Amino acid sequence: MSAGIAQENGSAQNITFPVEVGEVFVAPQGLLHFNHNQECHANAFFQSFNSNDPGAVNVINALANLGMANADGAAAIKASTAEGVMVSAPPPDMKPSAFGLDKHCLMRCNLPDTGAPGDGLETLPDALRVLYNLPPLGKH
Amino acid sequence: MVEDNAGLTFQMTRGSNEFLATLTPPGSAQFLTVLKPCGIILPHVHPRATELYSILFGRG
Repeated sequence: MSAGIAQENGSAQNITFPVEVGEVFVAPQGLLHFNHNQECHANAFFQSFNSNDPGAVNVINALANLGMANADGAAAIKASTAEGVMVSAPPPDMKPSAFGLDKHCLMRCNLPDTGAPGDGLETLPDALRVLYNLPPLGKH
Repeated sequence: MVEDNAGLTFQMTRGSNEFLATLTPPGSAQFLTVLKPCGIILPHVHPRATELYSILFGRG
């Protein structure tokens, strides 16, 4: 999985990096971040917060809600981002979503535009299936 | 549990009626999340918490 953080204005660069099994990625409070599964199979992770009400603001939805869909800035975002990686980010007239699909990745993985069929849970190892209260593999 | 037809398979929290075998202390929250192939958690901000992602399964 890759992850990224957009730093505050004036920072030299924003950070995007791969995160492997056993590693931890920190998204500091209030900083914009995303996660992207670039593999052809599902992945699993814990998300832990130091608040029982962390809140979430998805910026693409927020822009749409502010009525900026036709503003120049929003158009630039659509051109550079939505048409690039986040091709399936929801347009303003769609139900807001916090999740998207990378269409280039879907093509590379030979998966349909609507995403992989099933829920991907069949790829989880038994140790994780215990956490999800699922039967062990091959014993359905 | 959250189900989404886009990138996310599902997300399970200790607060739901589903079983999650972790201890979550007061003042914190924890989700066990499965992200589908090519799935993206779109750019977002958490206004009231720092977040830790611990990767359990799947290559980066």
